[in-house]
Amino acid sequence: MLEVRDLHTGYGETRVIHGLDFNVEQGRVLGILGRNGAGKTTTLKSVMGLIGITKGSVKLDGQEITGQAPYHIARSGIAFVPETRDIFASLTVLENLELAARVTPVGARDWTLERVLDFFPRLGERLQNGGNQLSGGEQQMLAIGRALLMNPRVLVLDEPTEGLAPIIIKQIHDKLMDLKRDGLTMLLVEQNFGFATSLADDICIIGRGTAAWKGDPAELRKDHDLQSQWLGV
Amino acid sequence: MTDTMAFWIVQGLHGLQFSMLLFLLSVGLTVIFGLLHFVNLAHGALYALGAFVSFSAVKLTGSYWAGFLLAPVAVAIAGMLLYLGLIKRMRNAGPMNQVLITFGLIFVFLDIFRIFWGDIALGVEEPALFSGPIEFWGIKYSAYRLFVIGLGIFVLGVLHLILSRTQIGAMIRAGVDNEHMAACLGINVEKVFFIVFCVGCALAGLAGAVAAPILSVYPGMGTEILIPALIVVVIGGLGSLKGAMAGSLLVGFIQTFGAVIAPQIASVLVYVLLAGVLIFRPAGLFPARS
Ligand SMILES: Nc1ncnc2c1ncn2[C@@H]1O[C@H](COP(=O)(O)OP(=O)(O)OP(=O)(O)O)[C@@H](O)[C@H]1O
Ligand SMILES: [Mg+2]
Repeated sequence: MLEVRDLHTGYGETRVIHGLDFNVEQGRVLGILGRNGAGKTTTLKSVMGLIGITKGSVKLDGQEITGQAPYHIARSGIAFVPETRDIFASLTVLENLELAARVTPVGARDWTLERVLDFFPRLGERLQNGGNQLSGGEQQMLAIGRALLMNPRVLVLDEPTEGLAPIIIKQIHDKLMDLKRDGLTMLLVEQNFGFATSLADDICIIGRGTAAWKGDPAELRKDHDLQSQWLGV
Repeated sequence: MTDTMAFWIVQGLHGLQFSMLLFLLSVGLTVIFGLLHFVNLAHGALYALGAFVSFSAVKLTGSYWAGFLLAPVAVAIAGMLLYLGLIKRMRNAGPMNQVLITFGLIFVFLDIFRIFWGDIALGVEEPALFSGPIEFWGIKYSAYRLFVIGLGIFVLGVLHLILSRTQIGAMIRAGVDNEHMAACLGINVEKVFFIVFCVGCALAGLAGAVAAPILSVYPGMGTEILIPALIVVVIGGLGSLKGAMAGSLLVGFIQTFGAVIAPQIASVLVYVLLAGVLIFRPAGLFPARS
């Protein structure tokens, strides 16, 4: 569904990714793993059009989206939950959500404000709070809720567990599991090995700027050599 | 009511009126700064353009209100052309290039004004509706200046409502907070920028039209007010409506009262305030981005 071919990207002279391929299949969760600084965030930002791509192609449902403006890519159905969450501090929680709900892509309107508040009841209690008055966990819920309100075809998450307490990580895990059962296609970047392998259907490890290993999460969990070589687990 | 009391009230109203003029000018400047990270030194020239357009419109039609309505529209169109022709390309060119280009624009505008309107200061009549003074508490004060004060407060109210209550307002605040994330929500930030830029220009044109009867209309009027307007932006904090109003009031009152109380050091006072703010609140009093 989301197809990345021969991706080359980086920051000016700094080449981070050179020749990365992966495919997020319809209704499945692709987990991307890799060490710190491997280029996971860079890859996601390139998919979103936030970083220019030097070479390669990104296709959504067979449609070329390479080089399009980020707002265009977002409207064509990719919702992004960034590593830094990027909640708008000068907007209330409600405004953060409404802004996302504004963009209705063609097709069914599955996610409404009510459904998101049902999904994350905590957000309902915080609607009038400013975006800068949320705990880390609440920020993450808002970032995910906001992405869902865009009714995306693909949900892209960058390290949703980063900096969160274990109990919150468990909650987020269960919520993402619900979404997965619901059939939502997801691209999940994670450092938390257990979290990623439990949610993902397929795994792609980024190493040396390319796909160092691809396969089944169960296989990766068994293979300790592989883990220590590419992940340092 | 004593005479001295009346004198200070009149000075206070003068200060308020000057503040409102500064506000109309600096609000566009600050939002353009905050949202587009763009330093538009030609903003003052756009204000002067508003005054000249208003002068000509008044002369042609005989009605102040023709200038009042036409100036913002004309300046918004000028801003639109500037944006599409120059500024859009300069968005990522870095502050130094932006300053150079818009500084150059100041001279282009100066020459345009000289060619079309000449070098002599021109006068615009107050509208009949607000001509002459109004009396209250034994004080006589220009009705037109009161109108300017009212207009400033009205514009502040309208902008506040738009920014805080409407979807486009939320989009603007989101864009100031985090341009990239706003784009990831499907917002065409570039288009929002364009609209904001044009509205900022229209307000500069309005300020020019409103200032015309109070100050005279002459080519250098834009450069003269640019410095106080920039100081307002820095004191108030980039991109913030509240900051633009607070900064305008501070600068407006300090300049007005300074000229009365301590004329020798009046011109320095504002810079002292600027230095103080830069030392203790480098981001300004009410920065949009916390
Ligand atoms: N804005 C930038 N300019 C230049 N280099 C950058 C920039 N951002 C990241 N890099 C470099 O690019 C490489 C990849 O960074 P990236 O953030 O994509 O890694 P990551 O896999 O997401 O790491 P982490 O797990 O720590 O989030 C790193 O070496 C980093 O130093
Ligand atoms: Mg990262």
